[in-house]
Amino acid sequence: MAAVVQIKNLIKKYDDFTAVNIASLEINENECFGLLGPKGSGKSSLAQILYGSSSLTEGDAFVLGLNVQDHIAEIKARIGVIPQEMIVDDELSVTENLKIYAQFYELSVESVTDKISSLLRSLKIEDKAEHSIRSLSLLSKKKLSIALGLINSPDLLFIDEPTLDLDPTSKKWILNFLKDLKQQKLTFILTTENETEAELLCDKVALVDQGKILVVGEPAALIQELVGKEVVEFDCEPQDINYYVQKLKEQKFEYQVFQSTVMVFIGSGKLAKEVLSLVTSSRIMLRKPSLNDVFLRLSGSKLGNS
Amino acid sequence: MTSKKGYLKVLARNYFLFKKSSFSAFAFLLLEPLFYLLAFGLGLGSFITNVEGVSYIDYFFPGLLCATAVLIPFFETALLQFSKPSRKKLYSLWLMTPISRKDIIIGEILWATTKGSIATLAVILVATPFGLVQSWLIIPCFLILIIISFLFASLGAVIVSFAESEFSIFCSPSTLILPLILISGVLYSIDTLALPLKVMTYLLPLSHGTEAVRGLLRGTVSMMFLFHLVYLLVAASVLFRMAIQRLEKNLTV
Repeated sequence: MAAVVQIKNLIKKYDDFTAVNIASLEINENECFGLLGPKGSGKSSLAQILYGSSSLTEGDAFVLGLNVQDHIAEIKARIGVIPQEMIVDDELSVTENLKIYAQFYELSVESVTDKISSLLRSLKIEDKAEHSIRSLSLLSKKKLSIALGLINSPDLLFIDEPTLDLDPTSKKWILNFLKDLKQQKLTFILTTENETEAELLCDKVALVDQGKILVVGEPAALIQELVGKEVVEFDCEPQDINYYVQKLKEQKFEYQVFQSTVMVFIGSGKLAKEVLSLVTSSRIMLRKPSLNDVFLRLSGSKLGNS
Repeated sequence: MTSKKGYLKVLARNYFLFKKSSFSAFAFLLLEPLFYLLAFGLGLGSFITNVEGVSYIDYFFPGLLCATAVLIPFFETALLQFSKPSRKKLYSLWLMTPISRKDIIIGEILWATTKGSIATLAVILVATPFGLVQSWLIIPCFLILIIISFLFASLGAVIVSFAESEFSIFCSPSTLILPLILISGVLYSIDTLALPLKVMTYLLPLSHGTEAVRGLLRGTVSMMFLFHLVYLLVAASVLFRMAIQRLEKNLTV
């Protein structure tokens, strides 16, 4: 499997602040790769370096085998970007937006006509083809933004926070569409702070915190390995935390305390009911673990959206 | 397959939009020069019977052409393109394609030049029935007006590149462009100015434009005409390079 992204000792600094510091990372072809981390963790800065909207300070980054520092125009011709902000040309109609954007990629008008109608059809906005941007709903605008990212049939697609600012129904629509894209064997890199999105769409994720990669792996494997099969989560009074921590240590449980909530990770050979019998709390629950627990376990903080 | 002439795509996008709004955009372009023609040519001109042997409106007309070639391109780059927030967002979208910053800067300057040229052509067409255009020399004049448009489109871009950093107060167009028009021979002959002011005026590019266009239209071409032309070309190419160099670094998107 060929690598679509290779990173070696990459550092990005803004004045004295180091936003990204990654020793090595490889992303393979036909892989849906997630960069998962809280706001300001450096995941978007990393993606921006890869799609050429920002420059790196030190080290090397290769996209589709090309060095981002001296082949960025060739890279841009072969990738697509769906930015977090829905930026479209407000003065043009939906179809005009796509036509003009296609010309920026040197695609001929004849070759894109079919492409445009098939994109509008699969995104279910063919009835809005001639509409002005001002008349579009937020969801339709997002769909146009996705169509712009796909107009040049990219070899690699960058998707930045695809569901931010959308209502739950719209969110669901977009996620289903992206799932379809994944089925069509498109390689994409998703930056998100939402662990459910990453688990749903990504074959592999990198958890990013303070500019560094904490761990890389398949979501299910990471959860299994670093958290276990279940999580017992309970709230307690601040003065009781030490008591519970003591008990959990004695019984060799893996746990993490976040504010007044204690999370106990039930690994193999352990049983959740042993914890349940230990605790008296007004709010206690047994649940499936998520990538948020993995992140919490490794960084001591939450992704910040749940 | 990199974009070799990306600036032409930027130019094409702007032209497409102009064409789409055809009548309204065109009428808007004509509004300002028409008011100048009415106010100075007919209004003020009715008090002045004779300037250097011709009626005031005949004297003023070359100046009006030059003023149009200054105002339209300058406002296009300085106010509409490089400084509007919505435009900057659009640039960040374009930069995700093989279009480069340089393509955007060149494309926008070329578009402002085109718009200025369309506007001056429109003024020529409107003025013809009034008997203000009497000679085929209007054709070489039009070429000089294109150079003036290009020069002031580039100047607008250079000004923005400074406004982005520290000199924003300096750069209000009304503190720069209107005084320039008032002292550069648009409304009256530079010869009437006192010597120190005359020297200063000739350091500025617009005086060379008005002198060249007026000289050519009135058939009084001398060696000075060549000097004016060379000055305009050199100033335009210096400002164009400066705009690219500065904005490639400074333009925030």
